[in-house]
Amino acid sequence: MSTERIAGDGPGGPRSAEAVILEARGVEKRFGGVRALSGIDFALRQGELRCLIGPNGAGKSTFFKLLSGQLKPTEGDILFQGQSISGAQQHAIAKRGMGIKNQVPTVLDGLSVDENLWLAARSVLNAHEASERADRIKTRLGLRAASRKLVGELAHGQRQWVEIGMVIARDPKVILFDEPAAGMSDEETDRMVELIRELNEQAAIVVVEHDMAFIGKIARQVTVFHQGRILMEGTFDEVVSNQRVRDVYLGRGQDT
Amino acid sequence: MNGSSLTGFDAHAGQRPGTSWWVAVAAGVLLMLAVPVFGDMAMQLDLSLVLILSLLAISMGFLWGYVGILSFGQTIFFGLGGYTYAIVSLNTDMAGFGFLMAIVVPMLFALLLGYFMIFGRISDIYLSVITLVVTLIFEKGVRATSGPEYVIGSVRLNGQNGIPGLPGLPVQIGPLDLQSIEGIFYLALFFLFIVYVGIRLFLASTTGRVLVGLRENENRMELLGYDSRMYKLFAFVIAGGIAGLAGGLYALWGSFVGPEMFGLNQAAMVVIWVIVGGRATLLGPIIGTLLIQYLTTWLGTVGVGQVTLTLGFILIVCVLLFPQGLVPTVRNLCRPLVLNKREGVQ
Repeated sequence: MSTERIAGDGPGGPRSAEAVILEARGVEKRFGGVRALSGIDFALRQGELRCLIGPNGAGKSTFFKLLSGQLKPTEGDILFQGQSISGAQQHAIAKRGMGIKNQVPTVLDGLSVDENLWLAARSVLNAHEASERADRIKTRLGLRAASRKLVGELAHGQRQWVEIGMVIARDPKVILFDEPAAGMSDEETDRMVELIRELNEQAAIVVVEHDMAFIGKIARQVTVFHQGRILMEGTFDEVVSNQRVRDVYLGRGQDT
Repeated sequence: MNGSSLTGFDAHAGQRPGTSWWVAVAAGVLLMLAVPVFGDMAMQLDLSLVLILSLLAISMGFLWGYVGILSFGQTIFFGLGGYTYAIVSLNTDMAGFGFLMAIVVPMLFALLLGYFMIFGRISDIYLSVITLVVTLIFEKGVRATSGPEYVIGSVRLNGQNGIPGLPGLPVQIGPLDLQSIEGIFYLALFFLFIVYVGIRLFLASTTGRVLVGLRENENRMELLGYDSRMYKLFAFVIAGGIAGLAGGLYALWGSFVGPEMFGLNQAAMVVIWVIVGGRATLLGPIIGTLLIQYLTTWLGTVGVGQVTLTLGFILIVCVLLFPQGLVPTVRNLCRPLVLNKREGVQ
C-alpha cells in the first residue's frame, strides 16, 4: 500500500510557513515479528491541529505512543523541536513541553481534584503560582464543585476533564490527545471541541479519534492510517470524499 | 489499585496539619513523658522498646502507605544501624559518633541498594522480594562470623551470639542520664516525636506531595515532568535512615546487637505491625507495634505456648475484619459523625 499525499506539507498546505515542531522520520515499529508501523513520515507544524484516524489495528495508537515517547521506534526517529526523543525518558520529554492525554484517564485517583491540578501546575511553577493556576483551570473546566472530591469518586467524563486540566496546567507546546471524546456525553463532546480549538491558539495539537463527527468539528488536517502506513493526508473534506478512505475505513458501516 | 487507594489511604496527607493534630500529638507526648513518673522499670523498658520498634514500623509505613513501595526488608537498615553503632562505638570509644553513623551508614547502603533497584526500574513486587532477600543474606552472613578471624577493628562479630556489652551515650542532660533506663526511654520518645512530626510536615511539602502522587500513578507523574526515580530513591534513603536510627536505639536499649535483627522473624513482624495498625497513616504503625508487642508478651506470660501461631491467627482475623488496619477503620467510623455535623451547618 503506497502513501498518497494530497495536501500535507506541500505548498498550499495550511500554515506551511510555520516551523515543524514534532516530526517522525522513516519510522518503523515492530513487535517481535509483527510490523505495526512502517515507513511513516509525519510533520506537525507550530500552531497546527491534526487528527489521526484509521480503522482498529491501523497503527494509530502505536504511532501515538511513539510520538509521545512512550514507545521507542524500531527504526527511524521522532524529533521534538528538532531534537530526537527516541531514547529520552518520559519526564524529560514532558519537561521539553509535551502534554499527553491518554485514552484511559491517567490521573491520581486517591487524591482530590485540587491536589491533582496543583501537582500538575507545581511541576512548572512555584507553590503559590501553582495554586493560582490550579484555581483558574478548575473554573475553566467546570470542576469547582468537585474540587475537594477524590478523583476516583468522579464520573468517567469528569475524570477526563481532570486529566485535561493536568495537561494544560503545564502550558505545553504540543498536546497529544488519545480519543478525547471517548465516553463523553454530547454536551461534553461539544465542550471538548471548543476547548481543543482554544488550546490550539497556544499549542500544536494531535488528536487520535474514531468519532468522525467529532473530527469533522475540529479538524483542519487529517492523516489516515491503514495497515501500519499512512494512507493519505488532507483536509477533512478531502479525506471523507476519497474513495480509498471510504473503502478501508468509512465504507465499513461507519457514519460520517 | 483504585479501590484500595480510595479507601485505605490518607487522601489529605498533603495538607498542613491543623491545630487539633498538634493538640493530639502534644497530649500523646505529655502522657508518655509521665510514664517514668508512675510506671515501674519493667514498664519503662517495655515501652522504650515499643517506641524504638515504632520507628522501624514508621519507616516501612511511610514507604508503603505514602510512596507505594513495600520494602519487606526494612530490617536491613535496622540491623545495619545496630551493628554500625556496636562496631564504631566499641572501636572508637565515641558513642555519640557511633550513634550518628548508625543513621548515616544505613542511609548510604539504602542509596546504593535503592539506586540499583529504582534506577533499574524493577517492578514493586521485585523490590519487596529483593529487600527481603538482602536482609536474609545479611542475617546468614553475620551468623557465619563466629570465628576469631571475623574482626572489624578490635571488635569480634561473634556470629550467632551477637555483640554484647555496648556502651551507652555518655550524656547528662540536667538530672537525666541518657545511659539510664529512664534516659533511654526519653531518648526514644524524643526521636519518635521528631520523626513522627518531621514526616507529617514533610508530607505537606512539595516533595512529600509528589511522593504521594507517585503512589497514585507513577506514569502520570512522569508525564508531568517529575523524575520518579529520584523521588523514590530519596524516600527510600530517608526510610533507611529512620530504620537505622531505630537500630542504633535498639543497640543502646539492650547494650546488645545480634543477627536476628536482620532475620525473617523480625522482618515479618514489621509488616504485621504496619498491617494491623494501618499502613496509610503514621499513627497506625505505632499503634500496631504497641498492640502486637504487648500481645506477644502477654501470650508468653499466660502460657498459650504457640505464640507465633496465635499471632498468625490474629493477623488473619485483622486483615479480614479491618483490611485497612485499625487506625483508618476507627477514623472512618468517626468520619460520618463529623460529616453529618458539617452538612447540618450548611
